[in-house]
Amino acid sequence: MAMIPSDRIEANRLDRDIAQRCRGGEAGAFEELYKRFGSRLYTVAYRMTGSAADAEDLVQDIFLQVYRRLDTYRGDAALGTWLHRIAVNACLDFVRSKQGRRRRVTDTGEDLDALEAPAAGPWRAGAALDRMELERAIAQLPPSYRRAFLLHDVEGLEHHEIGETLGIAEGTSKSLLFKARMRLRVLLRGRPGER
Amino acid sequence: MERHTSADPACGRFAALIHDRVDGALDAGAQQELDAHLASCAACRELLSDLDAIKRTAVDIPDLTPRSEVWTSLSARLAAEAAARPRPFWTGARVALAMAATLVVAVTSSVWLLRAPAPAAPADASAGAATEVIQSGGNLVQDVDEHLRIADEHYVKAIAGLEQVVKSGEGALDPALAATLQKNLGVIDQAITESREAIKTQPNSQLAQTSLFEALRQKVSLLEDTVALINVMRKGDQAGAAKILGGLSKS
Amino acid sequence: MNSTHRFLAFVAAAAVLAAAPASAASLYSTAAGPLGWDGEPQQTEKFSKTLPLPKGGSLDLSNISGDIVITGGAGDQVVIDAVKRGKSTEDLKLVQIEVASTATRVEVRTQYPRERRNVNVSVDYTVSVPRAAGVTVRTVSGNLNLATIDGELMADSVSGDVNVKAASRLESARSVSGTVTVASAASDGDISFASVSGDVKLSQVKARGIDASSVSGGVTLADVTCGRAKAKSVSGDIVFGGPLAKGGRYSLQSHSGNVTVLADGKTGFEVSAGTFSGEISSDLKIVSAFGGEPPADSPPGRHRGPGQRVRGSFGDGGAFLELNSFSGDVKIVTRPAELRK
Repeated sequence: MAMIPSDRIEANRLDRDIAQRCRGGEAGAFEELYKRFGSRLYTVAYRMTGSAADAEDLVQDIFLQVYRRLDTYRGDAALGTWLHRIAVNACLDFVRSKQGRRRRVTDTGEDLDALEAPAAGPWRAGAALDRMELERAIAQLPPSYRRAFLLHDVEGLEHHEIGETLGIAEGTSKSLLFKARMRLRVLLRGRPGER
Repeated sequence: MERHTSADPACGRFAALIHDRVDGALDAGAQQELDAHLASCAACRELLSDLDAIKRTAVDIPDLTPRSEVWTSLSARLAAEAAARPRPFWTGARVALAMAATLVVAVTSSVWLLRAPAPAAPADASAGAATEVIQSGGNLVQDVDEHLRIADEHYVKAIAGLEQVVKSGEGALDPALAATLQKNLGVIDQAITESREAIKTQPNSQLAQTSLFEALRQKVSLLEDTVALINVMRKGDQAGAAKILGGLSKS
Repeated sequence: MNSTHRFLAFVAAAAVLAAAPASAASLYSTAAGPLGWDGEPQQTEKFSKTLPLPKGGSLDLSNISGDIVITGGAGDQVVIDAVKRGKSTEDLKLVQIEVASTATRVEVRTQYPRERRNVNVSVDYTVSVPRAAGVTVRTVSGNLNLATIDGELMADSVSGDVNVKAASRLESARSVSGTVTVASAASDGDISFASVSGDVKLSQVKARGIDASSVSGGVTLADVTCGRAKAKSVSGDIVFGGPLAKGGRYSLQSHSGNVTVLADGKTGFEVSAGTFSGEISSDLKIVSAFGGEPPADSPPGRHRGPGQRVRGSFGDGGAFLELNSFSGDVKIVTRPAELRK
């Protein structure tokens, strides 16, 4: 959804406003920041680590980093984008660590199993794709497909970053993404050849 | 018209291009090639349309909510962090220096304890934590000297690093301001020199030691603020320069 | 409407705007002003804007070059008058005064273009705010003069002086190469004052805690009332005068400057004074806390020698004074005349 210029200016101003109030030590400003972005960054951490417990620890570390580095935020990028980058980097550091390495994927993708897919899927021809149907379909993906898909198409990570996160090669990440999408399509549309 | 499905090997090559197209990762040549194919292949057109829709819809997938215990824990950690800081703007370098400073404060207050039976309250909250560090280290007097030496090294190193940065960036500052800052760094240098001389002649003088570390701390502080100001001026962010003032000139 | 009609309407509108003090409108007028310091004619451009600011609201003003005067008064409006000064009208146009407002805050920023560096334009501001408004003001090169402000006040300059008078919720007043002069200010909490090469002079300041520092300037806290004070300088003198709170802690320190406390002799205090190569003297009799140099009782008078230390108390020892200099003298005096050198 493209923002019209006045929306963007307003959003920018709100970003700088909250950043400034946090810097100024205004009571409750940081809580406001957390309310606004806490779930987002927790979700990034969850998707990158695959663990709710690790994500809970990481999201706190991330916000502490934000607290320490707020004076470097100058307001030219959107605050959400800036925070997302801090979160991704913090998670990458984590997955590189000894503790984080436990969270890497072990499977690198199975072949598409047409038999598991429904004959006709919930996504009818000519209709819009329902988001909840998509979520259900994502839940049915094998873990490696699901994580590659979420990290790329939802979180916007690059393949080399996904590779690092999951402990796989960049090319494998790309391959997992493609397979994930194809599988989602089958789950949503139904088995090929039957359509 | 013959229908291909995208499982058709003839379309296999194009399937990869279609994925790249969805990611906006196709160069002009591949774009043209794909367009030419799409013109005559309904199956591939459907695939592209489906994958586009999947990606577009995926972006709206809602986030997970962390438990409220996460905020409870985080806010406690933030409060502790804020309490330990004397000022709001801390760069990474300062965290390391805080260690040195904390050592010095703890050391000088424990030196008090050695020499003065009268209670000497710690100068600030951080001393409390660091005192534990010192006291757990065995012979107190030996530790004191060692810790002072280490702290001195930390400071000298930090100062050297900062001076480099200042040297290379000074051009960004107004000449009169740069001159004022240099002059005041000189005043602090004088204090450092005098303190070191004093320590040489009276190694046990707690006052000389305190003087030295106070001056080192002030030098680091002024250098860091100068660096911050340079960085901001350099980027032409003059309004940001005004904001830096929040940390500047607070020794 | 035809073009003549439109032109006349424009002129009429401009005349109306020019005549009346602008309430919600802004007004620019450019003039070839007086000669600048180098004898070259200066261009000036005036700017005015008035905005409502209800109770509890605040003003946030950021400037780069130019003096700022902010005065609190009656009413519920922020009235901004600014004068841009520069070499050419093109230069003046490059610098924008941006005013933004929300229900509770008015933000004023002097915006210079990012690309062009040496835009030699200064903007002087004269602003009046509701007395209860909070004010945050910063400039890089320019003096700040702030008076009768009852909201939270933070004032920073880099190369200018900061003068504050009658501020009842002062938080900080700082400069780098200018002096900081504050008369009649208060805070429920702590106030921070600082300069690098300028003096810090406070008189009649009441706060819970005061932090005042300079590097080469002196720090004078005359008639301050606080429970905690920390005043430091490297080469400047420190002077402290004011009622000492029972249980208060006052830490005054300089490297080569003198440290002087004006005590009224009525409140007791504990003192820890030290100087490496200066003198320690006291008009009041300090009873030494323990043996060591100098002798058990430190009679009033002068003590000289390297590694001078006095640890003791006067009277009931309620407050705690920590007075240190490296090469300067430490003095406790009872007569204000002593403060003048």
